[in-house]
Amino acid sequence: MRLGVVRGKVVLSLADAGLVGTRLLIVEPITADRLKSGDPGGGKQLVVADHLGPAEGQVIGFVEGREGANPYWPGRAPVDAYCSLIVDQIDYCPPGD
Amino acid sequence: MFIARIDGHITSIAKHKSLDGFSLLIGQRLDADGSAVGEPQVMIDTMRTARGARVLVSTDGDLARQVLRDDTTPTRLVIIGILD
Repeated sequence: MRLGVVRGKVVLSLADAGLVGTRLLIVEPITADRLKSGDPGGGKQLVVADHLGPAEGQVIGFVEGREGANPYWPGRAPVDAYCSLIVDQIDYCPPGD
Repeated sequence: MFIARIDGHITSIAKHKSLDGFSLLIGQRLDADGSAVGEPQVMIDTMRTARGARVLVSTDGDLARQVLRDDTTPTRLVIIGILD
């Protein structure tokens, strides 16, 4: 589960049936040095499915791959990235290498 | 599975129900020579791992579903061991 910053959202006019009721967020993953600097971001942006509704600028945790479709079980959704949580506090201090 | 160093933790209230009650640590995946690889990742901890510890992390979604006892859990990384 990587950390990412919500940068925007995507609205589809025509979509796969499995995506009904799912928000699509544009998320920028957070690299280690940007996380340390307190200005999150730095990764390659991607689209993440979501049911929690984070606001723009909030930090989320998102899972990628097959587990992204787990929350839709027993239904099915063409999803490979899913917002698992919205972060409230980050306590991050790697060793000063 | 891969080796990671625990660099911190996060708190989250709005999250998937399967995550309730589990501590969420921030880990940095390491190479054999100890250099960092990739972005920091959030992983499920059941061993009260301390910051700075080096851990063995499972990337098996099946294990995550068993540990969190929920087939709909949107997680994959679970700490399964602490390196000596």
